[in-house]
Amino acid sequence: VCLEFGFGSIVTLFIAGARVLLGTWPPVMPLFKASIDRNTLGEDSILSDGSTMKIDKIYPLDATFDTKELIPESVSTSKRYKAFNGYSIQEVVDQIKADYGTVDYVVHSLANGPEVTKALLDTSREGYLAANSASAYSMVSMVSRFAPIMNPGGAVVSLTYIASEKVRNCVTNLLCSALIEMSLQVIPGYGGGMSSAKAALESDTRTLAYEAGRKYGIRVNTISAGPLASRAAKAIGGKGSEKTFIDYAIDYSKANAPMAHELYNHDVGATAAFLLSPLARAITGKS
Amino acid sequence: MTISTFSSLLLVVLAVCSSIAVQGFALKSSSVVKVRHSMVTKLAAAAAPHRASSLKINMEGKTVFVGGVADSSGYGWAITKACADAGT
Repeated sequence: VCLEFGFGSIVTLFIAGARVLLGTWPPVMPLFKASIDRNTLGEDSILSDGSTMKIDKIYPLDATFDTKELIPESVSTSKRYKAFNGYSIQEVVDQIKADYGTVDYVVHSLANGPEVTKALLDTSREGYLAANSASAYSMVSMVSRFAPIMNPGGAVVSLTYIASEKVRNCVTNLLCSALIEMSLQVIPGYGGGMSSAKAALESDTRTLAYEAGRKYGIRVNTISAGPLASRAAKAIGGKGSEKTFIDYAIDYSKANAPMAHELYNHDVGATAAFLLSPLARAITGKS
Repeated sequence: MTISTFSSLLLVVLAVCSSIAVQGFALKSSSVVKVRHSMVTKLAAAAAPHRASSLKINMEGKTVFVGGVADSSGYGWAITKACADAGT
């Protein structure tokens, strides 16, 4: 791979990492592509050797649609989608197959819950199912559709969240107060069926690991990362001068997590790289 | 008490004091040496080519697809970067 180097000189080198392909939600694609094309991401794109990360290709992807036929006309002709084609999961798989033949690693880093700010008690059926469709079934569909073009030894990683975990029965642990346990295991503010969707995602990770492991020789794991103030996370709550949900989550982690240090996104990057790599060849179905 | 006896007593006191001081210092410096030594051992182990290569994440020649990246602030981007960076 030929890369342009900083400091005014051009150096040709073979970078050693993986070839990277991205899937981006069509409505935000123009802005994201512009920031890549105009190289406005700055330091965020710089790899450890000082070179700029090369993204081979960005595919529009809406993981709530499995095939082209399932995209309603009201969506495909809408303002935010009409400029794009081939953004259902199967179409992206087909394009990658045509462009590169196979793929080794697949990362599911997407979720959506239209009613995330509502308590589960107040969540509509539509909102609940939408959260599960975008955040959990999207993973099932991706594994199902990508696996046939994945090389054996390949792996899938997704991102989950602690809110999926069950409320522990405090009777079994008399030392803990119910309040502490509840605050550890239930995450108020992560509503709209999102906690349900992440529970499904974690359960499906185990089932998919078994099925895809047997059928295709690939591994499936999910990472339950701590709170990171990403742009997507900042969108939950925080009306006006209120703190956002993620701010509360970060404060809580700082006060209670075993390692009180700040979580950086490259901590999660490193964990995912490990789980995808052959170093983790014996780890599958894990959260 | 003659002056010479006094001065020899003083010498003994001084000697004891300084030996304590030296011992204290010696204790400290030996622990420093120990810490440095263990660091050196660890660094040497990490630098040993055989061991280092066996634990290196190398994604050379691999292709990764990351679904759900829309900016450079989230986990998707970080994972993409880690994969692009994972090589020799």
